[in-house]
Amino acid sequence: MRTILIAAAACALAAPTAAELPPGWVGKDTCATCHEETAATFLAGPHGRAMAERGCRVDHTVVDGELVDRSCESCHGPGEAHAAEPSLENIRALKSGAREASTGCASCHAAQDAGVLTRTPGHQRAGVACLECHGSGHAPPAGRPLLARARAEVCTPCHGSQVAQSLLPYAHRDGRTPFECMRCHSVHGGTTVKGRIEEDGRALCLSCHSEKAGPFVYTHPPRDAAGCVTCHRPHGSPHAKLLSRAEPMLLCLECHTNTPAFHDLSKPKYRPCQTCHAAVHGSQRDATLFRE
Amino acid sequence: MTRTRLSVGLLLLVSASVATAQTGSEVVVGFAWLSTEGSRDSFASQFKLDDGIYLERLHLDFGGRAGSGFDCAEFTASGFGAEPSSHASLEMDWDRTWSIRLEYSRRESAFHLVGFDLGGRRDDWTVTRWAASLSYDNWKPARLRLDLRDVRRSGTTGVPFYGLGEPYVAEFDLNERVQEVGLSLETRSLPVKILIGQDLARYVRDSRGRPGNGGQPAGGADPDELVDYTTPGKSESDVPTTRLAAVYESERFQLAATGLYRRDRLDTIHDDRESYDLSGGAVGGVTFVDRLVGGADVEQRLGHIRLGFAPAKGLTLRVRGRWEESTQDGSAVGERLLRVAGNGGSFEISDPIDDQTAFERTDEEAAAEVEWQRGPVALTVDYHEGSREVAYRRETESPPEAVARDLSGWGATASVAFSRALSFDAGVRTGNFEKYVFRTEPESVRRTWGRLRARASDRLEFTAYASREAADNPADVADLDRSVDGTGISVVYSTDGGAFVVAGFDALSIDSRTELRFFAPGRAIDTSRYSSRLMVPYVRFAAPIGAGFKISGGALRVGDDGESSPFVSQQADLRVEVDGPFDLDWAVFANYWKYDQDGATADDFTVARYGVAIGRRF
Repeated sequence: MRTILIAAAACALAAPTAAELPPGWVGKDTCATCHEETAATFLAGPHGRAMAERGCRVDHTVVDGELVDRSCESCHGPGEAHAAEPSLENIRALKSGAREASTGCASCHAAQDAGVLTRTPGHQRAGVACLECHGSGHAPPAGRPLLARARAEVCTPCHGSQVAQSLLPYAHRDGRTPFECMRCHSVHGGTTVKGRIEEDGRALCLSCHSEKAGPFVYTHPPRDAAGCVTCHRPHGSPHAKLLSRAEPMLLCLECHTNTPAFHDLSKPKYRPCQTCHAAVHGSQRDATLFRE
Repeated sequence: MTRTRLSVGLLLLVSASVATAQTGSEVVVGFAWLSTEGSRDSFASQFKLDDGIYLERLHLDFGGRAGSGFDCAEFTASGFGAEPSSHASLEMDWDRTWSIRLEYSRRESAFHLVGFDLGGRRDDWTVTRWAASLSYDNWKPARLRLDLRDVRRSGTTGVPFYGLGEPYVAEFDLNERVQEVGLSLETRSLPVKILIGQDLARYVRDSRGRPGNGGQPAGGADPDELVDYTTPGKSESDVPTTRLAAVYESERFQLAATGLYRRDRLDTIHDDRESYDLSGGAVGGVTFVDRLVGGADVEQRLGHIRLGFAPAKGLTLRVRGRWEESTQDGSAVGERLLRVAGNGGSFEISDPIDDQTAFERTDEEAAAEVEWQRGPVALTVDYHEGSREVAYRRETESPPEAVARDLSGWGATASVAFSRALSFDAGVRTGNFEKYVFRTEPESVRRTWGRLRARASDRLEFTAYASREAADNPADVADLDRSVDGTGISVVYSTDGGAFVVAGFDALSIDSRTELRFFAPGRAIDTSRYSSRLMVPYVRFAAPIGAGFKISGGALRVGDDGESSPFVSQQADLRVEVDGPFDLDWAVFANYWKYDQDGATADDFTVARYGVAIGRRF
């Protein structure tokens, strides 16, 4: 398998340059004159193969062979000066400033960079660059798409607190594996959330928990006004149902100051509120939320 | 039987995949044994893992090569059998024109805990989801996309309830379904990129109830038997949603506006009854009947606008506005009956239901932000203001309630990224609120955080973070006082050969205090206190040792020393993989879980899961 890929890469390296290069660019063949092994490894990897074998769908535009020829300089910048006088000073090395390295990625992956003036996600504010999470393609990736770490661990270094919660006894998980963060979070920001214009975080929860979607004739206002996180901890909880209290009764009593006098809370009968008020997410037939 | 069918299906699937797959494909099948000490129900409530055959990984790559006819054609699957979550997806692109995505997932969920205060509730259900999308990408003006979705929830839930003064159990056979179709168009040749989407979803719920626990009270030893619990009702709602987004981008100016309009229409009908035989029927019976027709109209409108302007290199100004409105009008008409039958005759009491309910919410928010960046340093400062108005009427006889809540706040962040070797970011965010929709809402919120990322070399990486969030409100509201503190460090050492070690430690402290007020007697509590002190040390590693031999694993301990619900949970796993003859990869693995609640043993467990996996790449 490896032999085939290296051979394919060698063929790609030997292929004539089809497209005209921008001023100051020299093309991958010139780069490979000195960096032969590096170029071959890159082209044999998923980033190179995406450019060479399948073309590349970037922002809904199919880019063919010329992208292969531009592959080195797409990330490292125009190489004419570097080819004339090899030096780290006249080429964009990816070990340089993280933001500078990101500009190379954005030259192709415009969709992930679009709207940077209007959106303000935390990653943009914190200066998190593409290569913090993604690999460059010179080494085998740990996950798709070209991730520097396994998908489950991409977010761990910076968001340890949330990841630690996903390891609590009750959490969103597939068997023993916590959900990947990207199931809910849109890491690149943008105009839409996962391709859809979502109205709030509650809608994100209800896209899976559709049985709680309602509408209900008799609503429970905290659910409709403030959302699921009023009572639940979405990243994980020590308590069942991802509740934010060890005793669910306390969740109710913190809001409900109008508990009727016959609720004698010293008796176990009255302590699990849900035994009577079972329809905590809303009811179709009962204003006191006794039954769903 | 289901398990057998799954296993046979799994084997057929794997056999077929081996026969038809192309280079780049992979299949791994495992068999696991489970050894449990303690509560198997509690383990199932957390992990729902079983023993038996399962599909660890299947990846078939048919496309992207000469003669395949596809730009991309991949099938992936995992789960099934002994795993609680199953997933399969098929992705196909061809002619650089069409894209098809088919997804199937199935998730089993169980809940049965003895020591948790939900009154003996029991869940055992499955959600099955199908999703499909078809995209057409070869029309220059726009990209078209069709989405289909089908979600079904089936299984049973056991819901405890009080009837005749004793806790009984109602079992529900779940039958819930969501079907959705969506069509969207995304322009690409216009100066302004426009995205238009129209979805139509239909929700149907007609779960059926019946007496649980054989009609006997959960506590037993009561002569009154629940002999009938029927819920022949049905709820249906149609939800059309229209989405619109417009984006304009130039080098220095960007504008994005989004809008959404959704209108739900709910129709529900109930003829529910619960009947009891008093003293086993010797003295008669009691029947409660809820007979009603209900409905609700919900309208939701949303508008977001974001504007960005870069007047100079490194300087960006941003303004954003958000407006959301949701209104709901509900109604229920019918009667609530009590029928009592005894040896001396029978009588019936009827209570008419004629309710009008309402709920309205309007959120508004506007914010402005300045970002300044020069070289490795970036600073942002923002200010925001907003409001929330909630109006609510629970039933016809309830007085309408309306509250408006205002908010304002600011935030600032700084990030320094000298190189990939060292970067740091920190920030602060505050919010101040006036008036309260709910008494548990804060008057002020403050959040601060900082993160450090450092690379000592290409192989050694170090990260650390700390954050603190605090919220409170005045004593005359609820005397709320909440804080969340998080700290953590991690160290990663990796080699070019794929070996790595990750070790770290996370600590999370959550404290909450809320004063309770109620008229009920038995005031054993007057303050809701919650205290959690989580400590999570962990280590993970993988080490290829020579050709065709790899060992990987990890361990972590989650301990909560807080006062509310202290516990210790431990997990460990080890996997050894060996390349065998006939291009087969063999693996043996073992997993270990231990859950130990402080002061209670009913839900504790110790579980070992071990097994073998066999895989082949082709």
